[in-house]
Amino acid sequence: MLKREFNLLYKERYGFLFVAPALLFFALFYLYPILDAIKVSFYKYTYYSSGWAGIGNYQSLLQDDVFLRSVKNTLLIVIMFVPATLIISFILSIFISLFRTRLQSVFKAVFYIPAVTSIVSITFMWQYLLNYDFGLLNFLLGLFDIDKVNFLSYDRAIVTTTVVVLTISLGGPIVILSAALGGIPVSYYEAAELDGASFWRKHIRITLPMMKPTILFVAVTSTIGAFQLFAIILLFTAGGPNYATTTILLLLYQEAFVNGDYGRANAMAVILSIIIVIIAWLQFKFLRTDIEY
Amino acid sequence: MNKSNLIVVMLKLLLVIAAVLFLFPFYWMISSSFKEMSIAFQIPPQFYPHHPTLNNYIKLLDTNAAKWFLNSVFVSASTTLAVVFITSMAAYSLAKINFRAGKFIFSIFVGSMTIPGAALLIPQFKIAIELNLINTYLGLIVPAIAAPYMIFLLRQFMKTVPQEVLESAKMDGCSEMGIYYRIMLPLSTPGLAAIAIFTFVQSWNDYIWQLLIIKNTEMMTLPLGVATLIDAEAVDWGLIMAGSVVTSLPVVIIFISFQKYFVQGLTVGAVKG
Repeated sequence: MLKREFNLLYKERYGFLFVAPALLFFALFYLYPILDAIKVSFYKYTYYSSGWAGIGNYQSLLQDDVFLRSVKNTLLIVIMFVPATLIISFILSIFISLFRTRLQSVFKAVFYIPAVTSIVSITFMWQYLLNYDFGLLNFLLGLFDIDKVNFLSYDRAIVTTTVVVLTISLGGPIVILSAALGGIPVSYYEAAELDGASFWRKHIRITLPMMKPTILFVAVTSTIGAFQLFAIILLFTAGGPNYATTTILLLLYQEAFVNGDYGRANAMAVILSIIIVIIAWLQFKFLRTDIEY
Repeated sequence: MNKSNLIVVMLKLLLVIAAVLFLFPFYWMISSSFKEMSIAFQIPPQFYPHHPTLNNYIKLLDTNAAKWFLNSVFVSASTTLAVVFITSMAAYSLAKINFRAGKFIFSIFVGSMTIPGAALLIPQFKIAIELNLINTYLGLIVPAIAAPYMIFLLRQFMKTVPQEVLESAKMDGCSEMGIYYRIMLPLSTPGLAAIAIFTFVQSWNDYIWQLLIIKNTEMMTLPLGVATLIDAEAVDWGLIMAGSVVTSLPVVIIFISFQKYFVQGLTVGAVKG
C-alpha cells in the first residue's frame, strides 16, 4: 500500500519539481502572509505590547467611527466605480467596433495608456490640472464664468478621486469587451437589419445578451479591483481631507506603518478580504443567469 | 445619407472626442515639462510653451534621476527574468503534467488572486525584515517572483498546445526538461511575451512596496525618486512634470511596441477564465 503510493509519487515527481520553485516563493510571500495576517489579527501587536487579544481588535474596529467611515468610503467608491466602468467601457467598445481594425487598435491603445502609466505620474498630472489656483481646469471653467471649484474639498474629494481612478482603469475592460464583441457572428446583426432593427435596438437585443458572460467577468474583476484600490488614493489625497477619501486599505496602511498597530491593521485586512469574497460570490450567484446560445 | 449612417458617423465623432479628452492630460503634462517655472504657474496658461525650454530636464539631472532610472531598469529587468523563468516552469507543470496535486495547487493560486495585495503588506514586510531584505534590490525583486496571476495566465496559454506534440516528443525519447525547454517554451512565446511585459510594467510602476523597502535616496527607483521632488518647499511644477514624463515614457513606449501581446494577455485571462 505504502509502496504503491510511493511509486505513484515517484511517477508524478516531475509535476512537483516544475511547480516547486514557484510554490516556494508563493508559500513565503502569499500563503504564509495570509495565515500570519489572520493569526496576528487576534493578537495585540504594537510597538509597546503584544499578547493574545481574542476578538478584541475586531470589537474595537466595529466601534471605531473612523473605521466605519473607511468602510463607507470603500463601498461608496465601489458603488460609483463598478457601474461607471461597465457602462462607459461597454459604450466605448461599441463605438470602437465601428472603425476599421487598424484604427480599433489605435483607440484601444489610447484608452489603455493611462493603465500602464506610473501612478506617480498620473497623480502629479491630475494634481496639476485640478489645482485650485493655477490649474487648467479651473481656468477653463472661468472662461464660462463658472466660479472656481475646489475639486479636492471635503465634499468633492471622493468623487474626484473615483473619476481619476476611472480614467486609469477603463483600458482593460475596453480591450476585453472589444474582444468579446468581435466574437459575435456578423450574421446575427445582418438578420436584425433585414428585420429593420435600429442601431440601438440591435445592440440592446443582440450585443448585450451575447456579451453577458464577459460583462459578468468585468463586473467581478472591477469590483475586486475597486476594493483593492490603494496606491493611487494614497498618493492622490492620502485619505484626506479629514478622512473624506480614507478607504479600508488606507486606514490599514496608516494603522500599520504610521501607528505601528499590526493587530488592528491585520484585523482590517481580514474584514476587507471577507467583504470581497462575499461580494464576488454574490455577483456570481445573481448575475449568472445561464444563457444558452 | 440615411439615418443609421448618420448615427454611425456621429458616434465615431464622439469616440474621437473621447479619445482626445483622454490624451489631453498627457499632452498637458508633456507640454508643461517644457515650460519655465513661472510660465507653469501662469494664468492664463500657455496652451503650448511659447518659449520651450529643456531646463526642467537639465534640473532633473541635477537630482539623482539618472541613478533612479538605472535602478528602475535593473530592478524591473531582473524581476521580469526571474518571473518568466519560474512562472513558465510552474505553468508547464500545471497545464501539461498530469499529477494529482496539480489541480489543488492551481486552485490555491487562483483563489489567492482575490486577496488584496495591500492586505498582505504587513506580513510580507515582516518577512522582508526577517530575511534582511530591507533597503536592498533583492527586497524589491524576490517578493515579486510570487506571481499567481502570471502563472494562471501562462497556464491558459500552454493549455492550447496540442497534447500530441508532447506525446510524440516523448516517444522520441525527449526528457521532461527537454519538452519544457525545447517544445513548450518556443510554442508559448506569445504567452511568455505577455507575462514578461506585464511583469516589467508592474515592477516599473510599483510604488508602495518600494516605499516600504528602500530607505536611502541613491537606491530609489524612478517613481519613488520623482515622488520626493514634491517635498521641496516651493513646488516646481515644470520639474515635476518633467519627472513624470521620464517615469512614464519608457513603459508607454514598451506598451505601444508590444500592444499585441498586452491584448492577448488580457483576453486570454478573460475568455478562458
